[in-house]
Amino acid sequence: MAQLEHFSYDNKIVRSFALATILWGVVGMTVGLWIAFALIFPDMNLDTPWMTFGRIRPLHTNAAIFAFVGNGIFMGVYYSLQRLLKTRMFSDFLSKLHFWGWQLIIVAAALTLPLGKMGAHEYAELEWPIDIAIAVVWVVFGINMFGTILKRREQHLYVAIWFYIATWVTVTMLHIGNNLELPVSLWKSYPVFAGVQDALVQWWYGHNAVAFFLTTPYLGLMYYFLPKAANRPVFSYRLSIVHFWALIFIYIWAGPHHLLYTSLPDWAQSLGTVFSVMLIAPSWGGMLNGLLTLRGAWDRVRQDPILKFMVVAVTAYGMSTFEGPMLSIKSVNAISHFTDWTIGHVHIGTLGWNGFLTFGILYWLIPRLYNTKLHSVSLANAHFWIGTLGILFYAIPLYGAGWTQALMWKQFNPDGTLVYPNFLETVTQILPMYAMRAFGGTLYLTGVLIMVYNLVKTMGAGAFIGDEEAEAPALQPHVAHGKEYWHKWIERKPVQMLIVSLIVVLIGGIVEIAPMLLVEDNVPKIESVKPYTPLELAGRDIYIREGCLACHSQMIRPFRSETERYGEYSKSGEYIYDRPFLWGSKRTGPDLHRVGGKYNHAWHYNHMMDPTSTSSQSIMPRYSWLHENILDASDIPAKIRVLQKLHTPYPKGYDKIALKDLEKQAKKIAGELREQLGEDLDDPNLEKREIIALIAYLQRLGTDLSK
Amino acid sequence: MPLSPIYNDWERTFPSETVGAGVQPLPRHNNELMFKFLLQGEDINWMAVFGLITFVLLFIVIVLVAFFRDSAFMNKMARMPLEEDDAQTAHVDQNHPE
Repeated sequence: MAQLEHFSYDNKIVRSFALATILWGVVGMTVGLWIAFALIFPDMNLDTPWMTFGRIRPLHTNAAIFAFVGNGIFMGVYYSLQRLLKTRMFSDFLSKLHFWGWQLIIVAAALTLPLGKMGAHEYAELEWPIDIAIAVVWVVFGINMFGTILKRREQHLYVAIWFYIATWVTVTMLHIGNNLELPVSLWKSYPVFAGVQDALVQWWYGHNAVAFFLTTPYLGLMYYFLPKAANRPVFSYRLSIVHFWALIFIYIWAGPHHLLYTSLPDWAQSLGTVFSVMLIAPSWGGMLNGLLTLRGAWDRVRQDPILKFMVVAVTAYGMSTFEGPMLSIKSVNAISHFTDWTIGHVHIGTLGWNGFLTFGILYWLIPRLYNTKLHSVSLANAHFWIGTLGILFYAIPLYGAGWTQALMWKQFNPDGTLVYPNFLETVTQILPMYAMRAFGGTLYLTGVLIMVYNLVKTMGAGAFIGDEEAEAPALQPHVAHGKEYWHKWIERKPVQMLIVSLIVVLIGGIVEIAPMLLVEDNVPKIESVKPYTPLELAGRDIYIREGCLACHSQMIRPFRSETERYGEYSKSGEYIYDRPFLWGSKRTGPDLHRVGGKYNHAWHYNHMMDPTSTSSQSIMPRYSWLHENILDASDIPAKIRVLQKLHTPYPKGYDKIALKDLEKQAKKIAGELREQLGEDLDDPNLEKREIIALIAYLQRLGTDLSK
Repeated sequence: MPLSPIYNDWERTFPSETVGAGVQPLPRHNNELMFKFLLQGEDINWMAVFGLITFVLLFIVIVLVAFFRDSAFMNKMARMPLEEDDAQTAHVDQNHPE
């Protein structure tokens, strides 16, 4: 028997991440609730650009995913890793660097997104300096995690740690792959890929952000904290092995299901569908493994709010991982895509799975860190029921809204015309459901605030144990007894585990990306499709800055209901100069791919000033600052140069004369606008306003085919 | 230095032959423009087949590994989260509702 060694666990870093989880959870959910109400009361943008839906929505998603869930992951990993490996973290300094670096990134995101300094890749909107900071901090986390694993006192790695390793290596790969971009200035960059290629890379990332940030690390936490809370070993360790390998292999393939019926190659869409449907098996294997861990302990679920939270979390995981594959079936996706059904689906996952598992862990963890008991079990139970009702009030109305939208969009009269040709009719119809969703969000946030009170009182009543004393035998050299399976070998080889995990996730990535590179030279060029003029380019970047793609798609799918409403379906060759692609994923407003030439300049001018002036009952906010801001075109030459490097065929030396072209086009549009609006328009600087650039871009959209 | 193009004379700056040089321009309204048909002649189906076969092989190996492992080791691993020595806070469990 080896001699016992005495050491201590670092609880300070766990507490720091726990407090950050609570803080950013409240912030992220409050922002989400704000924009939920803003969809009913557009005036809630307060006539300021910084509070507008398009800019605040990415703030909500980034805060919820990377601030709330991200800190929750680190909280759980730092607690469980030390105990499963029977050692202190590798470096207290790296732990602190990781913590403060991550919080600084969150603050940077909270400042830059409302300022409109963002890209257009969903869940990856942050600009390149912050992307680099994320990479650095993520590597710091990796070094600290692997350093801890290497100095462990436990020979074999528990399954939770496999999930942590797979998470780390896959997120590294995804973050780098989706953020390959060339900087124009400190807060502006263009992605390396364009159009269809950009879309494929983005949704390879976007889907796997769900898979490897919201799912695999939380499965690791489930495998640790659920047995702890239930005081039962995991139901089947054998099943957990199958769960792990099957899940990480399959998940990486599923990205194309976000692009069904778009311009993506048909075979890639089918592959995404097949693997998405297959994903049910490992997902439900994991869910059942979690639920069955409670065998013999179900009586405790009645009284213990921690177990209640965990049971609902695992159930929500099962529901969303059943629904996801169903939504990936093409005939279902034809109805669900671009509707609120998707929003309801993802919130079952985030509110139920991520939120409730985090709350359960916090209720379990904080009393332990403070060496006391929970302040109020009754309040925790109240939180559970209010939160559960909140999820139901959130999701069910959005399912109704999604089905309503889809049915109204696709309904035809006997004579072949659309029953609801005015898109706005389909919006006003679902406003009551949006109101119910906002009520559900209010309930959910109320529950969280109750938790904050309960945990603060718990902390106040206890005494924090920063360095928790522990003892364990020193790590003994492995002695093989007879034949050893390779998996038993790999369970005590973290580096090999990392390499094999990387190979497994790379298979899917390569098979999806290699054809994309083949496609690079084969996107059918359409002779009439030309690069954007400098003014259109400036307008396009305003479109990105204002987050217009949060509500408007630019992808007309080849359905009669869409071509009848919007015009000719979208062709891949039309997007070859689109950096980034702006297909969007949700239609709160109509698709804009063929909006060019549909209305005159005056309509756009008035509509952006006050959307209700042209579309009564519109819920789009006012963008009046576009009519006041002078367009800053000083970076246009740099943008042209960067796009030239990315093979956009601007002529050599064009960067030097681009501004002149910009001014000429602006004067032309301003002149036409003055003719259309007459005396109503009295602005001597009209041609210099941002609205002119935006009008130029909108009038260009989708017109190349008809030239 | 090219002539300065103007917004409504974009064709002068980007004459058709400079766009997609070396690639036969396709007609504007043609189903061949659908990206879904793009790689039909490229024999890339082996990639999808490779993916599925790889998964099936991995799955079979993992199932065999998982279900032919000795039970004692499996039970030991399954109990690992419950065998920690956090003596200082172990009593907190007693404070949880039972």
